Amino acid sequence: MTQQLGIVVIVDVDAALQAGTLEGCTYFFENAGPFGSTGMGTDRLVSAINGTYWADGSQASEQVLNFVVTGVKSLPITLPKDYAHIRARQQELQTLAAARTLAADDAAANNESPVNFFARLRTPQYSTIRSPSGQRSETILLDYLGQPVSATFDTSELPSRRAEAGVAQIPPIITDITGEAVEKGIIYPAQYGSPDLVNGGWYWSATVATFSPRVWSYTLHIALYRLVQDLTTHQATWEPVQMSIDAKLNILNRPMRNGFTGGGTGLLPIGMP
Amino acid sequence: MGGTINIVLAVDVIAALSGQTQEQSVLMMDDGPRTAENPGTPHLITYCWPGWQLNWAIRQIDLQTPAAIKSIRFQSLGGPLMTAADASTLVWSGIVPACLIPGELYRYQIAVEMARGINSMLFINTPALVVPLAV
Amino acid sequence: MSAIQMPIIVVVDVVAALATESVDGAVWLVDSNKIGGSTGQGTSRLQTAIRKGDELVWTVMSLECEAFAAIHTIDIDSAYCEVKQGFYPGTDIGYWLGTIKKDPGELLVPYNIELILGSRTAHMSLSPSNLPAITGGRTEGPRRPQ
Repeated sequence: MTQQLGIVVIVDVDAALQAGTLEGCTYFFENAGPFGSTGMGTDRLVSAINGTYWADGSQASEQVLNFVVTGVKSLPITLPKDYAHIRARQQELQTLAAARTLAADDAAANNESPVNFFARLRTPQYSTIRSPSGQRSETILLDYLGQPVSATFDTSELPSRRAEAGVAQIPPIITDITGEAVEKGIIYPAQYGSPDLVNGGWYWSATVATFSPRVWSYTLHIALYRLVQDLTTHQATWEPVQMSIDAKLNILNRPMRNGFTGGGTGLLPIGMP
Repeated sequence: MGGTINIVLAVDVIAALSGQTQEQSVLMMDDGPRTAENPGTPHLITYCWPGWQLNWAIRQIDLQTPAAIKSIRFQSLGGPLMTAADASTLVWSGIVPACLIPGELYRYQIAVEMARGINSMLFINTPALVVPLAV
Repeated sequence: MSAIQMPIIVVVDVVAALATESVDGAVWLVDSNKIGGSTGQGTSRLQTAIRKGDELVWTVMSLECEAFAAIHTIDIDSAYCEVKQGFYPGTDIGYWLGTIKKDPGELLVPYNIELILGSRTAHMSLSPSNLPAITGGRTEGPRRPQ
């Protein structure tokens, strides 16, 4: 029977970029804690995997690992993938509605001047994402509450009285899984398309061959994104920074047994009704 | 010589752990040649015949939640004969004995272990086997 | 030093919490302020270093991707931190926003998180020995984009 194990990796991107390493800045979680996994909430995860086998020695079950990576300063992964564009579109519609109201009020001799209106006009701040392979795509900067970070006409309004709005970081992504467990054919990592649209609709999974009981290590290669803003053009770009971190699988050795007999298949233990 | 019938227990582990009723969180079905009574409920009655092999298996509706069959106990004889610290290493299959009385319901209890903790055990007391009366 | 907004992710193993009828051992907190002096990341006893005027944004993340988890309330001394619930516009995904009213200095101000898990009607919260806290002395905020 296939069992799926979810491994969640949360990265403190600011701390990792400052330290130049993921060590001490990465927090692993998975849901097999009660079954012998260790290192929850640290950067030293050892996942317990049940390596079950039949009496003839063949593998009885396979295990699938699903990896989810996000940043502490990223928006919840449960939000729609294109959430930034949805929010920007809503903001544009609000701006247009305000402009129409202003025009109507103007006709009715309202006293607000277009200059004031334009001073308050908010437009989304676009940014470029440069992928580790060099491709470019575009996204819109949101704060932690899902509000578009404005490129306002009146910059004096920015971090005055209100708390300085943080820019939600685009989540780190796994770019590869390597290491001993992969080289020795213990895990078969692959990137899959996902209808969930988390991380661009791609996620990493690994199938575990559970017949080799011992502790195996593997390396997650993760691209973090650093937001760089050109001071003259104000163009914001998310530049990838490659880092890696190790984790381990502890494959346990467990024979499969028949629950009724303890051995082979026998008569069901049913007596008189 | 008999055939094989697979009896599948599908459990919505999160619903069951949240205190939902078994009607809301458990459904059972089989692939026997004669359509079972109450398929899709925890009251499944499987038609079977002496000499046939029955295999029980569990599927969790949310794939990432751990669940395993800890025991299957027939009310008529007690059991289980085996216990294991880790129920995921148990396989549940057996041959229908010749002594069953056609038309009689043989009820059994499936104990399911979901994760680990005081709420982990789910006991389903309502399924049954029956050998159909010869027509 | 200007006030900042700081996210805190509450990670929950929903299945373990429901199975053990306790969120102790099934909840871990991570904030973005390791370089600003927070400690205890990856445990339930996160100590977030803050300053007056800072805003904390709590969100929840379930280890089982299909399991429902939400914060029902954040229970904290309102003299130090005023909390209110919000939702990401256009979604039913919520967050809790806390505004720091008073710098606690050296003091630890513990708080509890009441969680709604799965389809269980009763809320669950941490036991008193496992609580996260806020404390003063944030040294350096995460820098703004250059």
